[in-house]
Amino acid sequence: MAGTLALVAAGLVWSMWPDPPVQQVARAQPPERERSELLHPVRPSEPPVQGRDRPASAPSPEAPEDLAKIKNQAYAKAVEDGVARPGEVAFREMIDAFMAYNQAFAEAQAREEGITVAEVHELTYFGFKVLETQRWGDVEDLVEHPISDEVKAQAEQLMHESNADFKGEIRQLVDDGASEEERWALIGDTQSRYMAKYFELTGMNDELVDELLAGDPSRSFAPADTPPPPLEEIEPAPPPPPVEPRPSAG
Amino acid sequence: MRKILTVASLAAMLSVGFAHQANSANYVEYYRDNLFIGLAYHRVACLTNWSTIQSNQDYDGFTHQRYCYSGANAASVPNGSWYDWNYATGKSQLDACGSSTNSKYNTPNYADRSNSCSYNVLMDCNSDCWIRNFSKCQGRQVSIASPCW
Repeated sequence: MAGTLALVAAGLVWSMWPDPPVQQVARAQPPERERSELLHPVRPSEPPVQGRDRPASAPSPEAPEDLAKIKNQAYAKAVEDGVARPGEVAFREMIDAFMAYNQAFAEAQAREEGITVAEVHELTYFGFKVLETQRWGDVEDLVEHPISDEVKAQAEQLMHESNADFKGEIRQLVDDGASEEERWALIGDTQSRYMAKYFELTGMNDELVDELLAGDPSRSFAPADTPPPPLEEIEPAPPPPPVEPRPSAG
Repeated sequence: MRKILTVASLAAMLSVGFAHQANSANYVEYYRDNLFIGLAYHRVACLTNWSTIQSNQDYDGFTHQRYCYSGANAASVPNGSWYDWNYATGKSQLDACGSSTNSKYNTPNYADRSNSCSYNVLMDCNSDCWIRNFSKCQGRQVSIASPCW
């Protein structure tokens, strides 16, 4: 407390010195954008006290329950229709379902960043696609050789740098009042640059990335983290249907 | 006038700072980092005393990106915005939950990939599921996007 008083006293003396003349220079300020509470839950301004304060449930974008089914059905249909990149089609349909399910979040994000919902949609698709490109076990299966730790680290760094650079660039475009067309050009350019550099690092290509995005619905996943149902709700399982072969993309 | 306002703000900040220094409670605070300003998030937890981050340990999986820096302001982390919290008993509690989650997802020492499950977005082997398991162990499950069957 004594330290605070001393500093305040010094500050008062400093404040009594006359200000130098201020140059009247007009500066264009970026528009203030409202921060949505949906995207930014309010952090208590004072430390919570145990016994008195409890955390509130923070809303978050969620995946619809049938997301895997949506993706797998979209893949099967794309193959049946003879589409060139069925994995991409299925992945996009999965993201479309996710975005529709989280429309309120998409709108809030668009408002906060000063862009359109369509841009948020495309950027969500690209963000998830980039995460998929970091599935090293599957990438190694696809390129049919091990990927060194150094290359994996470089690819991860590429992801983080692309992300950071893009955020700075798009926000600058928005602050400068750039058109939607200019923003889409940046989005497209960022996607192209990331994929080109990623291909150069890993030996992947568009066809192999399509396989990556398609995924494998027959693969066993991590152990589920759900509690077992009550005994009285458990009935004997019916016999499983015969396993259908996965539609071939060729 | 600007100087007077600056001095007043500085005095207020120092007073608040002294008040926070008196708080010895621990918290686990959660932050999320969105890729390319879309709705794809990475989630991470840090140990704090509400004022500052108390440890350099990131509690997350499936990334090498660093977020928790001891001494930094707990209101946010680099590239990440705050979204949730819970009381914590201390670093040993969070370390124990981190260790148990690393075992479950086979991400030894908070590895950026699992040795047993194949990373997949919006399904059940990703940073969402890691943080869900960690937060549930810690005492309060936080919201995430993936279903994590």
